[in-house]
Amino acid sequence: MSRSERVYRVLLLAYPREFRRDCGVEMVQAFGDLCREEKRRGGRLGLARVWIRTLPDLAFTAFVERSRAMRDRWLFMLVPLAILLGLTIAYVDSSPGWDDTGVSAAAVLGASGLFGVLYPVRPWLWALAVGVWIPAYGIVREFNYASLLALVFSFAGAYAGAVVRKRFVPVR
Amino acid sequence: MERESKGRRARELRDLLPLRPAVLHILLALADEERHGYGIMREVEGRTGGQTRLGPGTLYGSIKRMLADGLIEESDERPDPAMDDQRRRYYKITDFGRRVAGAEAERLSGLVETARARKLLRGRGPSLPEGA
Repeated sequence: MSRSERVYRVLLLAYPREFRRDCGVEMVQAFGDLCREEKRRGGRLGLARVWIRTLPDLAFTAFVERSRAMRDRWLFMLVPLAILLGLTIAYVDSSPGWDDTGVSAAAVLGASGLFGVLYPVRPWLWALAVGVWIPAYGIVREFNYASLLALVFSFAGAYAGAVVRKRFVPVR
Repeated sequence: MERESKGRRARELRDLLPLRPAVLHILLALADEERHGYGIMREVEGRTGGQTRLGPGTLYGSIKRMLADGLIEESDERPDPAMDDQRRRYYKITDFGRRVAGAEAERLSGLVETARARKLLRGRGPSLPEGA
Protein backbone atom coordinates (compact mmCIF):
# COMPACT_ATOMS: atom_id res chain seq x y z
CA MET A 1 0.00 0.00 0.00
CA SER A 2 1.41 3.38 -1.03
CA ARG A 3 1.87 6.32 1.34
CA SER A 4 -1.04 8.15 -0.30
CA GLU A 5 -3.33 5.18 0.29
CA ARG A 6 -2.26 4.97 3.94
CA VAL A 7 -2.95 8.69 4.45
CA TYR A 8 -6.29 8.38 2.67
CA ARG A 9 -7.25 5.42 4.85
CA VAL A 10 -6.62 7.52 7.95
CA LEU A 11 -8.66 10.40 6.51
CA LEU A 12 -11.61 8.04 6.09
CA LEU A 13 -12.08 8.42 9.86
CA ALA A 14 -14.02 11.56 8.89
CA TYR A 15 -16.87 9.27 7.75
CA PRO A 16 -19.29 7.54 10.12
CA ARG A 17 -18.21 4.08 11.24
CA GLU A 18 -21.02 2.29 9.39
CA PHE A 19 -20.09 3.99 6.13
CA ARG A 20 -16.42 3.07 6.60
CA ARG A 21 -17.40 -0.52 7.29
CA ASP A 22 -19.51 -0.74 4.12
CA CYS A 23 -17.33 1.23 1.70
CA GLY A 24 -13.94 1.93 3.30
CA VAL A 25 -11.94 -0.91 1.73
CA GLU A 26 -13.28 -0.21 -1.74
CA MET A 27 -12.72 3.53 -1.39
CA VAL A 28 -9.07 3.00 -0.50
CA GLN A 29 -8.75 0.54 -3.38
CA ALA A 30 -10.31 2.97 -5.89
CA PHE A 31 -8.21 5.84 -4.57
CA GLY A 32 -5.08 3.69 -4.87
CA ASP A 33 -5.95 2.82 -8.49
CA LEU A 34 -6.52 6.49 -9.20
CA CYS A 35 -3.17 7.46 -7.67
CA ARG A 36 -1.25 4.81 -9.63
CA GLU A 37 -2.89 5.80 -12.92
CA GLU A 38 -2.35 9.54 -12.45
CA LYS A 39 1.22 9.04 -11.24
CA ARG A 40 1.95 6.93 -14.31
CA ARG A 41 0.51 9.65 -16.54
CA GLY A 42 1.81 12.80 -14.85
CA GLY A 43 4.32 11.81 -12.16
CA ARG A 44 4.24 13.71 -8.88
CA LEU A 45 2.15 16.47 -10.41
CA GLY A 46 -0.46 13.92 -11.40
CA LEU A 47 -0.50 12.59 -7.87
CA ALA A 48 -0.87 16.14 -6.50
CA ARG A 49 -3.84 16.68 -8.83
CA VAL A 50 -5.52 13.56 -7.43
CA TRP A 51 -5.15 14.90 -3.90
CA ILE A 52 -6.40 18.36 -4.88
CA ARG A 53 -9.54 16.77 -6.37
CA THR A 54 -10.03 14.21 -3.64
CA LEU A 55 -9.78 16.34 -0.50
CA PRO A 56 -12.83 18.56 -1.21
CA ASP A 57 -14.77 15.43 -2.23
CA LEU A 58 -13.80 13.76 1.02
CA ALA A 59 -14.69 16.79 3.15
CA PHE A 60 -18.06 17.32 1.50
CA THR A 61 -19.18 13.70 1.38
CA ALA A 62 -17.98 13.06 4.95
CA PHE A 63 -20.18 15.96 6.05
CA VAL A 64 -23.12 14.54 4.07
CA GLU A 65 -22.69 11.04 5.50
CA ARG A 66 -22.31 12.36 9.05
CA SER A 67 -25.51 14.39 8.58
CA ARG A 68 -27.36 11.29 7.38
CA ALA A 69 -26.10 9.26 10.31
CA MET A 70 -27.26 12.01 12.66
CA ARG A 71 -30.68 11.95 11.02
CA ASP A 72 -30.97 8.21 11.65
CA ARG A 73 -30.02 8.73 15.28
CA TRP A 74 -32.56 11.52 15.44
CA LEU A 75 -35.26 9.00 14.54
CA PHE A 76 -34.47 7.01 17.66
CA MET A 77 -34.79 10.17 19.76
CA LEU A 78 -38.04 11.22 18.13
CA VAL A 79 -39.90 7.92 18.59
CA PRO A 80 -39.89 8.04 22.42
CA LEU A 81 -40.87 11.71 22.22
CA ALA A 82 -43.83 10.90 19.96
CA ILE A 83 -44.90 8.07 22.28
CA LEU A 84 -44.64 10.38 25.29
CA LEU A 85 -46.71 13.05 23.56
CA GLY A 86 -49.32 10.47 22.52
CA LEU A 87 -49.52 9.12 26.08
CA THR A 88 -49.89 12.66 27.45
CA ILE A 89 -52.74 13.43 25.06
CA ALA A 90 -54.42 10.11 25.97
CA TYR A 91 -53.96 10.83 29.68
CA VAL A 92 -55.54 14.29 29.37
CA ASP A 93 -58.30 12.94 27.13
CA SER A 94 -59.20 10.25 29.65
CA SER A 95 -59.22 12.60 32.66
CA PRO A 96 -62.62 12.59 34.44
CA GLY A 97 -63.25 16.31 33.92
CA TRP A 98 -62.20 16.36 30.25
CA ASP A 99 -64.95 16.32 27.67
CA ASP A 100 -63.49 18.37 24.86
CA THR A 101 -63.00 15.67 22.22
CA GLY A 102 -62.36 18.29 19.54
CA VAL A 103 -59.26 19.56 21.34
CA SER A 104 -57.96 15.98 21.76
CA ALA A 105 -58.51 15.29 18.06
CA ALA A 106 -56.75 18.54 17.14
CA ALA A 107 -53.85 17.66 19.45
CA VAL A 108 -53.47 14.22 17.86
CA LEU A 109 -53.70 15.72 14.37
CA GLY A 110 -51.22 18.49 15.16
CA ALA A 111 -48.69 16.28 16.97
CA SER A 112 -48.72 13.62 14.25
CA GLY A 113 -48.42 16.32 11.61
CA LEU A 114 -45.44 17.85 13.38
CA PHE A 115 -43.59 14.53 13.46
CA GLY A 116 -44.56 13.91 9.84
CA VAL A 117 -42.93 17.20 8.90
CA LEU A 118 -39.83 16.54 11.00
CA TYR A 119 -39.26 13.02 9.67
CA PRO A 120 -41.41 12.37 6.61
CA VAL A 121 -39.94 9.01 5.63
CA ARG A 122 -42.20 6.88 7.87
CA PRO A 123 -45.50 8.72 8.51
CA TRP A 124 -47.21 5.51 9.69
CA LEU A 125 -44.72 5.31 12.55
CA TRP A 126 -45.74 8.74 13.86
CA ALA A 127 -49.41 8.01 13.33
CA LEU A 128 -49.13 4.91 15.54
CA ALA A 129 -46.74 6.40 18.10
CA VAL A 130 -49.02 9.38 18.72
CA GLY A 131 -52.48 8.04 17.92
CA VAL A 132 -52.65 4.52 19.30
CA TRP A 133 -52.90 5.47 22.98
CA ILE A 134 -56.36 7.05 23.02
CA PRO A 135 -58.02 3.96 21.46
CA ALA A 136 -55.88 1.63 23.55
CA TYR A 137 -57.00 3.34 26.73
CA GLY A 138 -60.61 3.75 25.53
CA ILE A 139 -61.01 0.10 24.53
CA VAL A 140 -59.21 -1.45 27.50
CA ARG A 141 -60.90 0.71 30.13
CA GLU A 142 -64.30 1.51 28.68
CA PHE A 143 -64.82 -0.74 25.63
CA ASN A 144 -65.08 2.51 23.70
CA TYR A 145 -64.43 1.40 20.11
CA ALA A 146 -65.38 4.83 18.81
CA SER A 147 -62.05 6.01 20.20
CA LEU A 148 -60.43 4.24 17.22
CA LEU A 149 -61.33 7.43 15.36
CA ALA A 150 -58.24 8.96 16.96
CA LEU A 151 -56.17 6.84 14.57
CA VAL A 152 -57.91 8.48 11.61
CA PHE A 153 -56.73 11.85 12.88
CA SER A 154 -53.23 10.64 13.62
CA PHE A 155 -52.80 9.03 10.18
CA ALA A 156 -54.29 12.11 8.47
CA GLY A 157 -51.94 14.40 10.41
CA ALA A 158 -48.80 12.31 9.89
CA TYR A 159 -49.33 11.84 6.14
CA ALA A 160 -50.34 15.49 5.66
CA GLY A 161 -47.17 16.55 7.48
CA ALA A 162 -45.05 14.24 5.34
CA VAL A 163 -46.65 15.56 2.14
CA VAL A 164 -46.10 19.17 3.21
CA ARG A 165 -42.46 18.44 4.03
CA LYS A 166 -41.79 16.57 0.77
CA ARG A 167 -43.47 19.28 -1.26
CA PHE A 168 -41.64 22.23 0.22
CA VAL A 169 -38.37 20.83 1.57
CA PRO A 170 -36.80 18.01 -0.46
CA VAL A 171 -35.85 15.11 1.80
CA ARG A 172 -33.23 13.36 -0.28
CA MET B 1 -51.12 -8.06 -5.95
CA GLU B 2 -48.85 -7.60 -8.94
CA ARG B 3 -50.75 -4.46 -9.92
CA GLU B 4 -50.22 -3.09 -6.42
CA SER B 5 -46.52 -3.87 -6.66
CA LYS B 6 -46.29 -2.13 -10.03
CA GLY B 7 -48.11 0.89 -8.62
CA ARG B 8 -45.69 1.01 -5.72
CA ARG B 9 -42.73 0.77 -8.08
CA ALA B 10 -44.18 3.62 -10.16
CA ARG B 11 -44.48 5.75 -7.04
CA GLU B 12 -40.94 4.88 -6.01
CA LEU B 13 -39.74 5.73 -9.49
CA ARG B 14 -41.39 9.15 -9.31
CA ASP B 15 -39.97 9.70 -5.82
CA LEU B 16 -36.44 9.13 -7.12
CA LEU B 17 -36.67 11.75 -9.85
CA PRO B 18 -34.92 14.00 -10.62
CA LEU B 19 -31.77 11.95 -10.18
CA ARG B 20 -28.58 13.49 -8.90
CA PRO B 21 -26.00 13.86 -11.67
CA ALA B 22 -23.67 11.33 -10.01
CA VAL B 23 -26.44 8.72 -9.83
CA LEU B 24 -27.36 9.17 -13.49
CA HIS B 25 -23.69 8.93 -14.51
CA ILE B 26 -23.29 5.70 -12.55
CA LEU B 27 -26.43 4.21 -14.13
CA LEU B 28 -25.16 5.18 -17.58
CA ALA B 29 -21.78 3.63 -16.82
CA LEU B 30 -23.43 0.36 -15.82
CA ALA B 31 -26.01 0.32 -18.62
CA ASP B 32 -23.82 -1.65 -21.00
CA GLU B 33 -21.64 -3.71 -18.69
CA GLU B 34 -20.83 -4.58 -15.09
CA ARG B 35 -18.05 -2.56 -13.55
CA HIS B 36 -16.21 -2.11 -10.27
CA GLY B 37 -15.94 1.28 -8.57
CA TYR B 38 -12.74 2.41 -10.25
CA GLY B 39 -14.08 1.20 -13.60
CA ILE B 40 -17.14 3.42 -13.10
CA MET B 41 -14.90 6.40 -12.29
CA ARG B 42 -12.87 5.84 -15.44
CA GLU B 43 -15.93 5.34 -17.65
CA VAL B 44 -17.57 8.55 -16.45
CA GLU B 45 -14.37 10.55 -16.87
CA GLY B 46 -13.79 9.14 -20.35
CA ARG B 47 -17.38 9.59 -21.53
CA THR B 48 -17.56 13.21 -20.38
CA GLY B 49 -14.11 14.09 -21.70
CA GLY B 50 -12.84 14.71 -18.18
CA GLN B 51 -15.59 17.22 -17.37
CA THR B 52 -17.07 14.97 -14.70
CA ARG B 53 -14.82 13.19 -12.27
CA LEU B 54 -16.41 11.22 -9.47
CA GLY B 55 -14.33 11.18 -6.31
CA PRO B 56 -14.33 8.02 -4.17
CA GLY B 57 -16.60 9.66 -1.57
CA THR B 58 -19.21 10.74 -4.10
CA LEU B 59 -19.01 7.43 -5.92
CA TYR B 60 -19.39 5.11 -2.95
CA GLY B 61 -21.92 7.34 -1.16
CA SER B 62 -24.05 7.15 -4.31
CA ILE B 63 -23.46 3.41 -4.75
CA LYS B 64 -24.54 2.73 -1.16
CA ARG B 65 -27.85 4.55 -1.66
CA MET B 66 -28.40 3.10 -5.13
CA LEU B 67 -28.02 -0.40 -3.70
CA ALA B 68 -30.58 0.47 -1.02
CA ASP B 69 -32.97 1.92 -3.63
CA GLY B 70 -32.63 -1.17 -5.82
CA LEU B 71 -31.17 0.73 -8.77
CA ILE B 72 -28.05 -1.43 -8.90
CA GLU B 73 -26.92 -4.68 -7.33
CA GLU B 74 -23.69 -6.47 -6.66
CA SER B 75 -22.68 -8.95 -9.29
CA ASP B 76 -21.34 -12.39 -8.39
CA GLU B 77 -19.63 -12.82 -11.72
CA ARG B 78 -16.22 -11.50 -12.63
CA PRO B 79 -15.90 -10.38 -16.26
CA ASP B 80 -12.37 -11.75 -16.34
CA PRO B 81 -11.38 -13.48 -13.09
CA ALA B 82 -7.84 -14.20 -14.26
CA MET B 83 -7.15 -10.54 -14.90
CA ASP B 84 -8.78 -9.05 -11.87
CA ASP B 85 -8.45 -8.66 -8.13
CA GLN B 86 -10.94 -11.01 -6.50
CA ARG B 87 -11.59 -8.53 -3.68
CA ARG B 88 -13.18 -6.05 -6.03
CA ARG B 89 -16.94 -5.76 -6.00
CA TYR B 90 -18.65 -5.47 -9.34
CA TYR B 91 -21.98 -3.73 -9.77
CA LYS B 92 -24.71 -4.13 -12.34
CA ILE B 93 -27.81 -2.15 -13.16
CA THR B 94 -31.19 -3.68 -12.21
CA ASP B 95 -34.36 -3.62 -14.35
CA PHE B 96 -35.73 -0.99 -11.99
CA GLY B 97 -32.51 1.01 -12.40
CA ARG B 98 -32.95 0.88 -16.18
CA ARG B 99 -36.51 2.17 -15.89
CA VAL B 100 -35.44 4.98 -13.58
CA ALA B 101 -32.56 5.95 -15.88
CA GLY B 102 -34.95 5.90 -18.85
CA ALA B 103 -37.49 8.07 -17.03
CA GLU B 104 -34.76 10.56 -16.11
CA ALA B 105 -33.47 10.62 -19.68
CA GLU B 106 -37.00 11.34 -20.92
CA ARG B 107 -37.36 14.11 -18.37
CA LEU B 108 -34.09 15.68 -19.48
CA SER B 109 -35.04 15.21 -23.12
CA GLY B 110 -38.24 17.15 -22.46
CA LEU B 111 -36.19 19.98 -20.97
CA VAL B 112 -33.90 20.02 -24.00
CA GLU B 113 -36.90 20.12 -26.33
CA THR B 114 -38.27 23.09 -24.40
CA ALA B 115 -34.91 24.85 -24.57
CA ARG B 116 -34.79 24.17 -28.32
CA ALA B 117 -38.33 25.42 -28.84
CA ARG B 118 -37.43 28.64 -27.04
CA LYS B 119 -34.31 29.01 -29.15
CA LEU B 120 -31.94 28.70 -26.22
CA LEU B 121 -29.79 26.11 -27.98
CA ARG B 122 -27.28 27.53 -30.43
CA GLY B 123 -26.53 24.38 -32.37
CA ARG B 124 -29.11 22.45 -34.36
CA GLY B 125 -29.42 19.14 -32.62
CA PRO B 126 -31.23 16.13 -33.99
CA SER B 127 -34.95 16.83 -34.14
CA LEU B 128 -37.74 14.36 -33.73
CA PRO B 129 -39.31 13.03 -36.92
CA GLU B 130 -42.64 14.54 -37.79
CA GLY B 131 -45.51 12.89 -35.98
CA ALA B 132 -43.23 11.30 -33.37
